[in-house]
Amino acid sequence: MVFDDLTRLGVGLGFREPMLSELFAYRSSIDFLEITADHYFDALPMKMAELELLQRNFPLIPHGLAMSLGSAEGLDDQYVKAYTGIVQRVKPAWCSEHIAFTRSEGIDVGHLLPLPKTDASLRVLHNNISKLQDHLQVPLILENITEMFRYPDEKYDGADFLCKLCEQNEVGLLLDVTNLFINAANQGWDPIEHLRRLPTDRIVQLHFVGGYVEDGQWVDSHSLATNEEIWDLMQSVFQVTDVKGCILERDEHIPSMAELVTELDRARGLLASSQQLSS
Amino acid sequence: MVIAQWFSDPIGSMSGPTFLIFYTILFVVGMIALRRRVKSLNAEANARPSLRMPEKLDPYKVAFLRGGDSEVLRAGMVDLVDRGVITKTEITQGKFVKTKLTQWVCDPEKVARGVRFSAIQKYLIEHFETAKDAASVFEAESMLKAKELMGGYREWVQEEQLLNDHSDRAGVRSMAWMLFLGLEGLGLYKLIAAIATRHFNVMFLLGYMALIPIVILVIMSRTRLTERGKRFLSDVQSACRPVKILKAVELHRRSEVNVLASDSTLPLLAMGVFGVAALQGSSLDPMYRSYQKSVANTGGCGAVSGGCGSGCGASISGTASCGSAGGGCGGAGAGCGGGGCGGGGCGGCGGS
Repeated sequence: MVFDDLTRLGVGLGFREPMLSELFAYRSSIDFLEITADHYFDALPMKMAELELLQRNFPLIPHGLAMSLGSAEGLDDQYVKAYTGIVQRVKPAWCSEHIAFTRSEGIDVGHLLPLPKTDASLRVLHNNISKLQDHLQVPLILENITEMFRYPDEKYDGADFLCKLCEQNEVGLLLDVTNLFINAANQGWDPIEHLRRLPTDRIVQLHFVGGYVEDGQWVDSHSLATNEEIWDLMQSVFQVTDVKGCILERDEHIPSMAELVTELDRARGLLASSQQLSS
Repeated sequence: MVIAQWFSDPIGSMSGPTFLIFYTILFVVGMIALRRRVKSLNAEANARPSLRMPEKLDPYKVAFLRGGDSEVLRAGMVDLVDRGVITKTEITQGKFVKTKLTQWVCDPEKVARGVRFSAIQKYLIEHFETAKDAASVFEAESMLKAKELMGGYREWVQEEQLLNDHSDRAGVRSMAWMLFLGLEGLGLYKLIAAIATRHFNVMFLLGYMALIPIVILVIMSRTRLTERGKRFLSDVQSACRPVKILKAVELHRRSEVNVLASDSTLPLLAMGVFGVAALQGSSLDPMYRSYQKSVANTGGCGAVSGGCGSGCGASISGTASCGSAGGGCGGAGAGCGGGGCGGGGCGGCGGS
């Protein structure tokens, strides 16, 4: 399978512009960067120079935000062109998007919305993924999102839905460990049991970051250091699969790079010890 | 019309529109050839992988890459002024019309406090033992002394193949001059022929003739650095974007940029990477003004403000001689004296 042969990238950061000035001082602790592809669509030369700088100094993985693979109306051709343009430019080991929709009847929702876990959604996803893959020369991996609500009368639960998705499409998984934990905690199921039912051979990359509890619900804020519960779940993930890369995804209240690097080192330690055990 | 008969050759008798088409073809072919020649400079260096960003950035190295010896001195000066080792003093000149002059002088107390200074800083301290104009350090004699201190930087740019070789650049300059003289000569000949035959609709031709030196200058303005050097400088400037305007850093007290500077101060980093333009409006604005004035006074190469920084000065070996086809800096002996290319403004006047 194509996903087994992917380059092992290690542990890196979701790149955000405020990190730029500190990035190079800690480069030995950052194995690769995940860039938000959308930030470089029709970008100014200054922004493209930033992309070139990153490309020359780190392996990059482009991560899309608004492809809206779950939109029944199909993909936005302009978005596909812009996204694939960045992928071609960066020449990554793989590229990623979300299992979600952000657009309906031409209106951008501005948020990643969950799909109803039904056969109809799987068909829509299949059509859109096939269309996108026609333009991609690298493997595509898809991320599970936080679900603040569930649709009534869903045929599948989260794990079964991902299994079906992987059966029907040649895609890998970007397992957001934080989202997995938050969905489990908010919806009241066991994340470990869920994890065991996932097609673990398809898990290529992880996302992790901290969240917080508000009014009894976990919030995926991307604004805090990774919680202990999430570290524990990450360790469980490492035990069941051989991930190629882990990304710390901080968007808000970005701390000093020294602090971020502490988390990267911890993730690297966990990853290394699980790989030693498995070998 | 006897004079008109002098121009009965194919060029002289060619109709205006036909000549313009012919001239355009020559112009385009010539510029493409020149561009290709410039691109082919140091192909071996350009084929090497890009230089990676260092974990600790040396602003002096970047200053040298950006503008040669004079930029290193300027960076050293900014650092010393920022640390209070060299201070501003104002003197009044003139018997009848009094004018205030800003000069710079070393503070012996600060020097005596035993802070470690680099060789370049020691040189600057010695130079400003008595109050002098900021640009005095770029005078020919001073520059010759200063050059000796830049050996390390010179070796670095040579090893990393970041600067084009002087002899290669001289070859490109010759080609540029030939193109310039050939095209302008041909245009002038046709212009005289047209006027002699009472054809005064020559505006397009004049426009073309004015455009030729501009295009040549643009093409030639980026010959100092190899493509590898340009890529590295562009990367450094992108990474240091937060300090491009020092005033903004001071206003927002953005401490995170300290990391980039490693052991250096932020003004030194800003000056090294972007030139004196980065100091405008900041606490070091007097330095910016001093250098701006020195450019105006000396006609040094390039504006103080500006961006690209592939500029002036310097230097793999020998004496600097600014000047490229159709323009350049013309400073004899000491490169872009007078503090010319701060801000990385000028392109093209290269060192030797």
